[in-house]
Amino acid sequence: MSMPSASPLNKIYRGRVWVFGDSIDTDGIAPFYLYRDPEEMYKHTLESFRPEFPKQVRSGDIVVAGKNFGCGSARPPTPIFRIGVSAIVVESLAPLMLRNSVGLAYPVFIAPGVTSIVQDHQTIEIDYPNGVVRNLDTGRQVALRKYPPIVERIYAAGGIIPYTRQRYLQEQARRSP
Amino acid sequence: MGQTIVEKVFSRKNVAGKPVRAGDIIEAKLDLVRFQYGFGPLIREAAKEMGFPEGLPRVFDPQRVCVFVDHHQPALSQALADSNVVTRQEVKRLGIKVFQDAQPGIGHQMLMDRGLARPGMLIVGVDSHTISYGALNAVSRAEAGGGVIYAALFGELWFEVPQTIKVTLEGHLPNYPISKDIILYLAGKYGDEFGQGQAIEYAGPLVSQLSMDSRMCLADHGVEVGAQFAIFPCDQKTIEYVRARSNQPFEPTNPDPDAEYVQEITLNVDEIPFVVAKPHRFGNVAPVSEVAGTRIDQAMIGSCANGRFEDIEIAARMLKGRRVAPHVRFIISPASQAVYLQCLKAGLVETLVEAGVQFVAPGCSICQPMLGFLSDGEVCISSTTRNYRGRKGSLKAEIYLAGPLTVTAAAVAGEIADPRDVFPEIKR
Repeated sequence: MSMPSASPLNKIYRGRVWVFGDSIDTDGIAPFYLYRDPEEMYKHTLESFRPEFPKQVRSGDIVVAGKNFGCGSARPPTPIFRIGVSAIVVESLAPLMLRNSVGLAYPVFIAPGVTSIVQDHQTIEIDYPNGVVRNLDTGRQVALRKYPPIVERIYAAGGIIPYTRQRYLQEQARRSP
Repeated sequence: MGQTIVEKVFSRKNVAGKPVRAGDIIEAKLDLVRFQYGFGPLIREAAKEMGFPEGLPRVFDPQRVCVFVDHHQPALSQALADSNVVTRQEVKRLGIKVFQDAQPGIGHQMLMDRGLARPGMLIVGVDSHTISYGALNAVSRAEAGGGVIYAALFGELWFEVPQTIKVTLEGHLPNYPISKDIILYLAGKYGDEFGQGQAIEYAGPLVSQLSMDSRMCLADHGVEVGAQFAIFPCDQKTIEYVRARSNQPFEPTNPDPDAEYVQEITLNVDEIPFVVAKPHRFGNVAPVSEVAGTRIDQAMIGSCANGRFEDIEIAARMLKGRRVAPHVRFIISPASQAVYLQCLKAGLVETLVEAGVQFVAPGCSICQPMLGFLSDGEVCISSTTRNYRGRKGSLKAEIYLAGPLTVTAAAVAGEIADPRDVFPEIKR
C-alpha cells in the first residue's frame, strides 16, 4: 500500500537546528507534574537541558538529539511541537517515545549519526521519502531509517486513533454487508 | 536454531499463526490490557475523536481489560477526583470486570499482588513500568495512550520482535536487596541506553536465589536502560508466587539452550561495589565511596522499583536501635496495601516510625513531584525509579539513586556513606 502524500512522513522539513544530547527524558520534555496547565507546561519544555530553548525557539525550528531520546515516563513530545518545532530527528528513540510519536503522527525521525553532521543553529533538511537528512550549510548528510510498513500506515492514517477507527469501521462493514 | 523467551511468546501470540524471529514485525494477540488512573477521560476523548460520541463501542474482552485507579490515592486534587468519577462510569459502561478503585497503591504491584500477570502472557498497558511483569515471566511493555485503546478494542497490537540481551548473574546473594546495585552498575558500565529497543533476559545461578521482590526491581528498571522487555525465566519460585494468587492456567516459557542473543553479559555480584546514580541520569553511576560525605536533606524508599517488603525490611533491620539524622526527611511509601500490611504484621512500621521515618500512603507520589518536593540546592537520595532533573520539583535540586540499604545508611549518617561504614554488621 502506498502512502498518501498527506502523511507527515512525506513532507520535506527545513529548519534551524537546536542540538541536544543523549537520553533527553520526558520529565524535561513534558514537566507535567510541575505545570498542570498544558499551555504553561509547553513554555517550559526542554528547559531542564537548555533553559534558553523554550524562550528562543522559533516556528519551524528542528530539534536534533542523541541516543535514547524520550526515555522515562510515557509522555508524548507534544510540548515540543506546540511551541513551534516542525520536526525532531534523533540518533535513537526510547521504545515508548517511538509509540507516542507514531501514535500522534508527530514528525519524529531516526537518523543514526545525525548529531555528528550538524551544529546548533545550522539549517537542515529532513527528506524521508528519499531517506536522508542534509545539512544545508555544509552539504553533509546521513541516512534516515525507514519505518516499518505498519508505522507508515499509522502515519498515513493520521495517527493511531484514526487508524483504530479505520479498522473498526472495516470490520463492521464486513459484518453487515 | 532455538528461541529466546520473547521469540517463543510472540510465536504463540502471532496473529498470522507463524513462528517468529527477532526483527519480525507482527500483530500479536494480547492476554491482558492494563489501564490506570485517568482511564475514563482518556478513553472518552479517544472515542470522541474516533467518531463515537457515546463512547468506545466495546472492549475486546471485559475479563482481559483491567483498570487500576492507582498512582495517587486518596485523590490529591478535585481534578483527580473528577477524573476518577469518569473512570468509574466508563468501567461500568464497558462492563470491565477487573477494576480496583478504592485501594491505594502502585497499579503494577496491585496487578501482581492479584495474580493477574502470569508466566507466558503478553501484556500491554499505559505507564512505562508496565515492563515490570517480566519478573513473572510475562512479556510485558508499555504502549502510548492511543495504542492501548487500539489494544483494548481489538485485543491485538503490532510489535517488532526484539533481539535479546542475555544477562547472566553469578556470585553470592548478600543478606540485603541487591537488585538496584546490579541494574545501576550495568547502566553505568554499558550506558543507560544499552538495552535500546531490545529484550533483556536474566539468567544464571544467582537468578533462582533472587526473591520475587528482587526480580520485580530488575524487571521494572528494564525501561531505565531502554529495553522493550525485561524478563526472568520461570522457576519454582515463580510458580509458587503465581499459584498463591491465581488458579488460572499459565505457560512457563524458558529459552532454548541454543537461543540466539545479540549480546551476552555476565556479572558476578561479588565483584560490584555499592553504587549510586548521580544527578541527573540513571547511567551517571559511581561507587558510593566517590560521593561519600555529600550531605542529604531527604531520603526515600518506595516506587515500583523498590517499594516492596524486602526494601522496607532492610531499612527496619538497620534502623532498629538507631535514629534517622535529625535534619533528614526519611520517607517510605510501600508499593501497595498488601505490602504495607506485610510490613505492619512483621513489626517493621513500628521500628521505622520510632526511628524517625515518615510513612506515605502506598502509591507513586514520592517518585514524582506530588509529595516531598525538593527546593533549590536540596539533595535527595532515593531508591525510586528516576533521577531526571526536575523529577522532584526544583531544577536546582539533586537526586541520587541507590539501593534501599545505601539510602538507609545515608538517612542515618545525614550524608551519603558506604553502608558498611554506618552499619558494621553488613558484610560482603
